[in-house]
Amino acid sequence: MKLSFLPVLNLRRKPLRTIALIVTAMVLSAAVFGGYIFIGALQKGLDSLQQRLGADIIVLPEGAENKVDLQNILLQGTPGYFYMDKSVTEKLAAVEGVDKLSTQYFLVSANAECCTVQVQIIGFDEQSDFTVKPWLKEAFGGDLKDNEIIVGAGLSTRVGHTLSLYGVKCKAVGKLERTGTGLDTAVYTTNETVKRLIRASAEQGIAVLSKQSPEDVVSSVYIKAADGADIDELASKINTDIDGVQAVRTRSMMTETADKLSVISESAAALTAAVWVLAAVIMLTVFYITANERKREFAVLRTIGFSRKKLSVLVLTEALITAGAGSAAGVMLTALGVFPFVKVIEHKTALPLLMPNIAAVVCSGAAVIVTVLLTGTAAAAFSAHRLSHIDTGKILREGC
Amino acid sequence: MKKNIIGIAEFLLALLLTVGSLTIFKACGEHDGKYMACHWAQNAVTLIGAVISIQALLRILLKNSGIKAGLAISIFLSAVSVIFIPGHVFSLCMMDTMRCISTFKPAVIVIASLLAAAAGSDSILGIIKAGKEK
Repeated sequence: MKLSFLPVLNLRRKPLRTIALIVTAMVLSAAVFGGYIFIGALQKGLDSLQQRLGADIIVLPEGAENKVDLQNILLQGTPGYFYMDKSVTEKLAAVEGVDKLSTQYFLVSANAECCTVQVQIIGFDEQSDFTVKPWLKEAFGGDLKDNEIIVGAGLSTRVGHTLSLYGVKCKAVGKLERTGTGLDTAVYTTNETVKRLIRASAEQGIAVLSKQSPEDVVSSVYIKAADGADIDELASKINTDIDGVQAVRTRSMMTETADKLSVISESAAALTAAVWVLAAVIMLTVFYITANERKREFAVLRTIGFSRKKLSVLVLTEALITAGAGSAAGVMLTALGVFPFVKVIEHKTALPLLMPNIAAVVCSGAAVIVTVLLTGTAAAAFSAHRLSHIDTGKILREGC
Repeated sequence: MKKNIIGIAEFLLALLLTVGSLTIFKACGEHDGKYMACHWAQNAVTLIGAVISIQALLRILLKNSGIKAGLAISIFLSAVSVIFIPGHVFSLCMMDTMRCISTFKPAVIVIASLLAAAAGSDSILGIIKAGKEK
């Protein structure tokens, strides 16, 4: 028998102890890796949403439910729509401190075909838009023509295929990158196409608008404040001066969400740290108890010529094998349990989750494995030191 | 028991695929009185899962190493084919928040991949063992 196989044989001889150590390392690595992925995905999702909103103020029809609707559209992808009189855009343009403004239409498709569900349709004004087009360019460089749409990453519609919305065949000319937000399941098109769809919905007996014409309404107005203008003051002024609308500062809406996410992130981080400490304590205890049980075995090894260094190496190798196997299994199981199911997690938690790229995931997985190996080795080092300094003669004579 | 541990794992995974595709990770339900395309994907997964379950059970019960290896190869090939059913052989629904894409497809792919890995290694070990017995 080769002495290099001794750690493996020792581990096989005590299968329950070995499995317990591997499971402990597995739980530790799964908690750390899972925690890292979750917190990273939350942060990335929020960043992508912030980038995509791109306006200082969003003006909506008055009423708290409209703000909730907008947050649901943006974060959860719950389709919704609301309208206000288009005349507000002229009033808004006249407000001092407004640099640019652009209107948007929200509409919800009917789930008329097999395998379709309600889709959020967002119409934007090609001439005045400054919020949608900058990132829409990633998917489509030209100008959108009539009945042309750009689809979110969460829809199965491919570029070149058509999507039937209220019986109108709309051609997908681009597909956006994933954002991890509700915008992934939306369809983007021009205001003219949305108006056409509103008319088509009326023809099908689905009254989106009760009496007004689609030409007379808008859903929201995105405002870019002039340089040096106080955005809070501008929002207050709009709320005071213009009836029937509410101006929401984009940052405040994001801050509310960011605050919620930060609480969730902190809780996840605290939980991860707690699991880590617990697992480290368990490992230390197991190695300590094992060291006591194995005093005689190590005394025999000392008498047959094992040096103190060799005994330490033996204990540390056993720790490295168990921690290595456990951490690799933990990282793999977490990856298997999280990545394929990210859409369902995102849907159930209603959080903007955008997974880190593959390189970041591989690096973090490797970092977790190294960290668990170090934790396992550190926990075993104390026992290795004790076992390598045992009084061989006394233990063999007295048996303890 | 120890000798059949891979066979038992294969049987349990195949059973999970069969029962799970009808319950915990089933595809989208009825919609306006009609079944969507993902329903047929679900039926196909359930059917192949049931066939694999029977094969895995025979793989445990039969003694002949050659037959065991043959069954393991069959399980491996069937498991690999299951991976391609949702989204490739049968199209699924339009939005990735829908149950068939968010739950059914990843669950089928993960379980079928684990089953293929187990049956693949079982096939190799079975072929080696059958070769030695000759």
